[in-house]
Amino acid sequence: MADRISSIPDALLCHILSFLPTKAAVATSFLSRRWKTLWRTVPVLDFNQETYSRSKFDNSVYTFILSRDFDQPLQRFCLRSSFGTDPAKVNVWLAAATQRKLEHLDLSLDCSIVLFSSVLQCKTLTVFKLSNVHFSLKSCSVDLRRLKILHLSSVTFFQDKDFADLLSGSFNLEDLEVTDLYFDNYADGTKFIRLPKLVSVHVFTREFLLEAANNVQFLRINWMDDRGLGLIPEFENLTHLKFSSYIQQPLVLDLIKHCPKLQNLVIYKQENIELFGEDPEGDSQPVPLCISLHLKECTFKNYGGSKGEFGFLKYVMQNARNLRTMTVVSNNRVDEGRKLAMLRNLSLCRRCSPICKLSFE
Amino acid sequence: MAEETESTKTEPLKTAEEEFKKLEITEEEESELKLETSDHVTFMVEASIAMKFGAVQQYLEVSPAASASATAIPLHNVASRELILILEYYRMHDWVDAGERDLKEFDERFLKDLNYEELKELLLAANYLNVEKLFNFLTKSIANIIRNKDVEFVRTFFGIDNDYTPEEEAAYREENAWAGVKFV
Repeated sequence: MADRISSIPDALLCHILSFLPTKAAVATSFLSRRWKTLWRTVPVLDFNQETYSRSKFDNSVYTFILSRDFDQPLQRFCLRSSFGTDPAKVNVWLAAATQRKLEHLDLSLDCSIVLFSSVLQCKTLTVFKLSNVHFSLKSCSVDLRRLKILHLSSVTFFQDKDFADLLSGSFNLEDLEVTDLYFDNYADGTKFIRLPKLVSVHVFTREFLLEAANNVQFLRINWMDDRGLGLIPEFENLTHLKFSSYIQQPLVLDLIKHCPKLQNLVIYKQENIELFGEDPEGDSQPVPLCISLHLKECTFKNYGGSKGEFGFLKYVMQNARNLRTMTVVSNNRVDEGRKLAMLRNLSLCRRCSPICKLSFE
Repeated sequence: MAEETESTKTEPLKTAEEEFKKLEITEEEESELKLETSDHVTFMVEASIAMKFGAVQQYLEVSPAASASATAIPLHNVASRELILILEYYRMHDWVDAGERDLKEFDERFLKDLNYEELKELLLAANYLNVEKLFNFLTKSIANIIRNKDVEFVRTFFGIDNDYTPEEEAAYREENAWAGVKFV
């Protein structure tokens, strides 16, 4: 058996090493002669500045990039720096990385950078995650035709047009996450294209127009302010919605009306934000089709039992014919007695769907 | 009884026949494949799971007859012990009702029940069978096991003979020390 184990093929060991930070992978070269060069074929470079002494970081990155086996593709390049690395050096590293059929790029930079065309026109890139960076395109055109996943977090664009151009060049995008996005300037007439293949969108920022995402199936929104409102598009394909809001409008029900195929709704209620308006039962308008026909699962988190919240849940249970589960998670500041009363009120509601289960946590 | 039906009531029989055919089709969809491990144990495995194994797919491409016939598909480098584990893993991960939390708990327990030797044997079997999900799970788990461990632990774990002379090793470590590359 020992023989068989020592015969673990190099390719397999490389796969194991690809989950380790590059520094740890390089350290395995001390194990034996066979391992001395193994790390050079690992298809991943993963640098975290915090694990290096400040003066040695840049040289280490250069050395490891140069020591890799040049014929081996580099699938993933990951760089986290928190001391404001020189952007010129970052661009050199990225130029080297993108020449090796790079597929996955993960950058957290803490600096201001004008990314070069080597990245913005990297035709093999499928995943791009960018955080903590001040970012501008200058006039470089973007061609990320294979990009499927784009996650931006704490990114400030020089102007809104840079973001619009980044999206336009990523026209095959399927999964977009945008958290804490800012623009220094707004150009005249910036247009966001619709991304036809977008399936999943997670927005936690004020700077995003939902119009670009009207084809999605999965949508998660944390609404920050009313910018871009009045522009809620029809989400023809939306089946899963996670919603949280820091503003009073739009009311949940108004948003749901734009989601005719909604099956799964999750609401996270922020304190002191009333999202439910007047008692919906008193509303003479017809029940939205998505509630009466499609809604299968509804989850309400941070439930405080206010009149509006209760009214909304009651409305859903009374009208959703195909609802399977209603999950309510109460606000943890509510005391036990109050929780029991909430549960009692909810379980007394008439449920239109015979198979609906109510669970209260 | 059957003959009587055939001669007198042809119409209902036809329907019954059609029904039967339909039934056959559904059965075919849930069909099983016969797999034989290196220690000559045969397993009947749901086709939906067996077809996730790259090695099985490849075998059936070369000899498609094996899917219908009673011949077992040989898995030369997988022992019954490993195949049982692999099937357990895939049945759980294939189970429609398994939620994310269930799978996470399952994975943790699955890993905890394996000693290092079994883990490596299973990795080789997963590699041979070409089962991507389990392979990624195992390689990632092994990376987590060796992460932040000292050099001797990793040598023992992989059964590595240190063929550096002490002088060589010291010199090589020295060479890399500037970048802070070292084992903890």
